[in-house]
Formats: sequence, structure tokens, C-alpha cells
Amino acid sequence: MPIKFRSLLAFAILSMGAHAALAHGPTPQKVEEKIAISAPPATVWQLIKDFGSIGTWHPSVASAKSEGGNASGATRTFTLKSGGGELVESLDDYQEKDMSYGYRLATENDEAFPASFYSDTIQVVPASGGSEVVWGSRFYRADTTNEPPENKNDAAAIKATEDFIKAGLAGIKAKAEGKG
Amino acid sequence: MKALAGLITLVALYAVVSVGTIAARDSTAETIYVLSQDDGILSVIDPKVDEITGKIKFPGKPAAFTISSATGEAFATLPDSGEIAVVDLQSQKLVRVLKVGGQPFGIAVRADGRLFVGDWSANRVSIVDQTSGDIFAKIAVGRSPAHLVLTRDGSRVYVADREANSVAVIDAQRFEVMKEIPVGRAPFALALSSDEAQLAVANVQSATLSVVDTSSLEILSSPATRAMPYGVAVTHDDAEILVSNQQSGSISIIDAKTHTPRAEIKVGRYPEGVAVLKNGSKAYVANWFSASVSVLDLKANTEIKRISCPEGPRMVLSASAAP
Repeated sequence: MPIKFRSLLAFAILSMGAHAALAHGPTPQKVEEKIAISAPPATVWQLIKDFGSIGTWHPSVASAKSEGGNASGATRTFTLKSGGGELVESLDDYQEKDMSYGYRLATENDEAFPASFYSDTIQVVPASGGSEVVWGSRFYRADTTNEPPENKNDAAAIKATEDFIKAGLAGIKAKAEGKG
Repeated sequence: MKALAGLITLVALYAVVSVGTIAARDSTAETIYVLSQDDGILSVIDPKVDEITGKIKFPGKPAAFTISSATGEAFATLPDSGEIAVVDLQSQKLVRVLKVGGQPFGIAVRADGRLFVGDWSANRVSIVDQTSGDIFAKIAVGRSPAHLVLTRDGSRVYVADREANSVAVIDAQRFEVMKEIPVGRAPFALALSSDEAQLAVANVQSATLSVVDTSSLEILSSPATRAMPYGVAVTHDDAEILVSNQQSGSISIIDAKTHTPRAEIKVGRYPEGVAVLKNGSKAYVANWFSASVSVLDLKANTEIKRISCPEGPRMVLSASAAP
């Protein structure tokens, strides 16, 4: 009986866990990644300071074009090597002295990227030995109803965002350290 | 086995974490409540010391909440499960869960015990009995109703219809939409002035505030904010409007008469909800990304403290101590 009870208990707890994961609702998600770079902050900032420059340093980006420079409301339109069509992002907040800018998804396209309404901030921070780049994202899953398919749920959105940010940071590091 | 699983669910649901003790308060003392969605915790902040003095556990991931001064209860929407969780603020315990269905988000409570609850994906506001959860009426509004606010006499409800770029004005006696007022792009949060003559609506995508004259239901002015305004509050003397700029990580202080900016205060990352003490001395801001609450001195317009809180803080309310 004690053994049976314990296994029942384990099953019940497992079921609850699975249920909780599946029933995840329209709660905003966050991802933050950092990378240490052996190059001065000014060098790193020079690489990424132009909002439209993403095609020159992000290895997952196939092609990119931009409009409006670094003014609020500027846009960049790019495609990913993984396909799915264009993503359009618009610049919100540009802080030259903080070496930082914030932008958001302007046109939803979950075929290209399985997250909706994301807003990101990227910043170059001085660190011992050079710089650190910090990239954060706030986003919702692609399907914000209570029964999203697996490719449009929170887990899919988190994974895609983590992968995209990590690849981008690695691209910045490689270029800044002269290996790109 | 089902019974056992049910029992465990029930136990999990009713588990209440209580940290610290609440100091005895006089009945006029104010308390700040901060709701953290990811951790499902309502933090209780004593503004005398600006520290978290209690943590009330909610089931699931509560998105928004309201407080009934009549019953001393807090009502939080659970969009994932289509429920409203009710806690007693005195005992800091979950007292009941109302099943309303859909994706409840914005919520307001009226003194007669009726809740006004927006449904994010069904594009309507339901009128719900705060005790039984029975639904009296359903009112169709614009797409994706976000936050909503009720007038003090309970006669009118304003709803920010985020995807419709409008504010629904509901006659709360007849349960009818009087008007959908076009505002900026993606209105999310709104706040009434103390005299209820003005309604301030924060438009996330257009980075503007729509200030509505509540008698003519026309837009008085649309001052610019910083990037992605996600929260709004009006000081009790109706002198200033506070707007949280999510993407800029700041609070804009806007003159409520001239609608021009007076100051900008840096806070934590991705700020959302904001509330002001009645005496106007301080404001409290939920920094979603940082999982902290910024305490602002509104005389000096500076941040004086940052309090760590549970993950995912999105909404802040100030309330007088429970009766």
C-alpha cells in the first residue's frame, strides 16, 4: 500500500506538471542573454550601433534593409536563413550615450518567427577585459489562445528567442574579436 | 486516483505562503499591492517602510486584479484557466475561485458585489457576481479588451480595447456600450482623474496618451510619451499624470492641466503598473523585467528605493487598509 500510494502520488504530481505546462496562458515571457567580448565597448558599439546593420553581424539573417536610420520609428526589414518571409521591426528608444537601443516587432509573422509582439533591448556595457553585450526580450507566444499548437506555444517562443539572441551575440563577438 | 489527484490539486490551489507579519494599522493607512504574474504572488508593501510585509499566493498566473473596499477582498483574473481567484486581504488567504470561462484579463469591482471582467479573446465584458461567479450579462466590446476602470458611483465602465484602438464606454446600469472612442494605437491601461472629468489612456504602439473629456467623450489632447506606455495613474489632486514607458524604462510625469511633460524618472526595466499614494508623496512602479518595485519621490521626482519582488510584477494598486 505505501508503495502503491507513493506511485499514485508521483503520477498525480507528474500529471499536474504536464497540465500546467500545456495550459500556459497569455503571460509575457522574458529571455536575457549576455556575452563577454575581448574588445573595447566603442568597437563593439560601432558594429551594432546602426539599427539597420543586423544583416552585417547576425549569422541567422539572410538579408536586411532599413529605413529611417537611428531615429525613433525607423524600421528594419529582414529575412532569416530559416525562411518564413520578412520580419519588420521598428526602433523605439535609441540611447547613444548608454550604447543601447530598444525596438519591437512591427508586423507579426509567426511563419518566420514563433513569437508575437516582442520588444527587445540591446546594450553594450563596459566590462573587465573589454565589453559585455546584454540582449533582453519580452514577448508572447505566437498563438495567445488557451490551446496553442506545439509550434506556437510558450516553449517554442522561448526557444526561438533564445536561439536567435545567442546566435546574434556570438556573431557580434566573432566580428568584434576579428574572427568574423 | 482521480480523487487523489483532485485532492492534491486542491491542496496546491489553496496553499498560501505568508511571509512576515502585518503591522497593526489605523483604518486610514494605505497599503500598496503588487501582483506578480509569473510567481502568482500578491506582495503587500507598507509605504511607511517601503518593504514587502506580506506575500499572498494565488493559483496559476494572475494577470490583473482589483480590490473591494467593501469586503476587503482582492479579485485576480487567471486568463489561462478562465477563473477569478479571490483572496481575503486581512487573513491573506485564498477564499474562493470563480469559474467564468474564456480569457479574463481586466477587472473592476462595484460596491454592489458585481465584477466587470474583460475577456481578451472573446471581445466582451462580463458582469459577474463576486460571490457565486454567476454571469448576469455579457457586453460585446472592441477587439482584445485590456484594462478597464469603473467610476466611483459604479455607473460607467471604460475599457481599453487594445486591438480595436478604441475605448469602450459602457453604461453600467443598462449594460450597453454608449460609445467606442477612437484613441491611439494599442490602448492598454487607463486611469480616471479623481474628479472623474478626465480619462487618461496609454497607447502602447503610438507612444501617446489620449486624454478623454468624460462629459463630451471627446479627446481633449494626445500628448506624446516615451516608448511603449504600459501603465498610467493620476495623482489624487489631479495635478499630474504618471505614465510608465516600458521600452524606455522610465516614468513620465505629465502636467494634467496643460498635458505637457514635467519630468522623466528612470526606473527598472520594462515598467508596467504604477500607483500613487493619496497624499501624492510617493509612487510605486512594477518593473516587469527586473522583478522589482521602484519607489518614487514625487516632490523631487527621483527614484528613492527599489524593492525586489516575485517574478513578473505587472500591476500595482494602492488601497486603504481592509475594514
